[in-house]
Amino acid sequence: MNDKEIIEKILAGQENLFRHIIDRYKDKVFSIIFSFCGYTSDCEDIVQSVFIKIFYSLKKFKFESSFSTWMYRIVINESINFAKKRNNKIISLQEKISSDDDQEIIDFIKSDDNIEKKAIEQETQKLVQNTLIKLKNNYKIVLTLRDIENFSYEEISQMMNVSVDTVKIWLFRARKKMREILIQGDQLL
Amino acid sequence: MKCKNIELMISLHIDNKLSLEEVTFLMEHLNSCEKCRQIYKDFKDIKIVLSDSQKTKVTNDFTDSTMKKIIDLQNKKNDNIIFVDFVKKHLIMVASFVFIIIASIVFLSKNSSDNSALAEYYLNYEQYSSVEDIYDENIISFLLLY
Repeated sequence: MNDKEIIEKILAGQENLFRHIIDRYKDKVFSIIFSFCGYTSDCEDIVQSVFIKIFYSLKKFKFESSFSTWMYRIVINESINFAKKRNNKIISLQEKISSDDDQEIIDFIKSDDNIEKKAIEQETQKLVQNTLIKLKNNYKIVLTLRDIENFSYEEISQMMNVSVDTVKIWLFRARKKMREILIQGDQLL
Repeated sequence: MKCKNIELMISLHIDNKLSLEEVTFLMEHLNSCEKCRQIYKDFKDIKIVLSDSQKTKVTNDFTDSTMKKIIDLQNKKNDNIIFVDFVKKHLIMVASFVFIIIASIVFLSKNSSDNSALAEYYLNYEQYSSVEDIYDENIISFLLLY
């Protein structure tokens, strides 16, 4: 069953079918929101509330665009709202934590010659996340959508409601900024 | 071309968004510019790290717990809808009921104020009547004297 069929059935009263939508998109939605909230305990709660919002907004879906594009717009807006609300609290806290974590990672890598690959991957993931969270909201989103979720430029432009050229520029600036942050932290080889 | 413009081309190139001519031009520049070569390497590394970083996932019971919340919210909403529907369907009956209640309250409050006025009247009447009694007694005793 494709998205359109599922949505039509949900709107006709088969609300339980929304679980297919959750199963289909939960990891991608989590990935986007995760780039905003990072390793905070309430990240999954936020994803859950976003899915509930999507469910209650289904009546507004006009089938003019693909469901995923429409849904990601909600996810992006909610992520930005979340960032605005908790910007001072979480981001500054994350920055503090991240700078401590970054040093931990460097020490960890330098201290042991026989580092397990899995452990490095986990730490790299943390490092990436902590760097990503320092970027501007738009840069965060384009990098997550493009490099983590592998969406095309066209899809990203539809989701973010901007031109493809804007996406190109934002991606470039996001990578440049991310590089600067990593160089400042001495974490690019 | 300035290195600043080359940096944008590098970003597009790692997403395979350049034409063959542009790629050739870029490669020629990279061969001669160490700074841009380093940026190319770094951008590529960032992309690889990000694309490999999709390890964080939601917990296993995420779908079930989300659906449970949605169903709970739906049930609450349905309860509200049932109540509103009931009110709509029985609007005349509900309006009559409300009218009777209001009318009863008004009547009872009016009645209670009437009662208090009556009580006041009776109280005063008793006073008046006792004065009249005294007056009558005085007249009788006066008549008896004479």
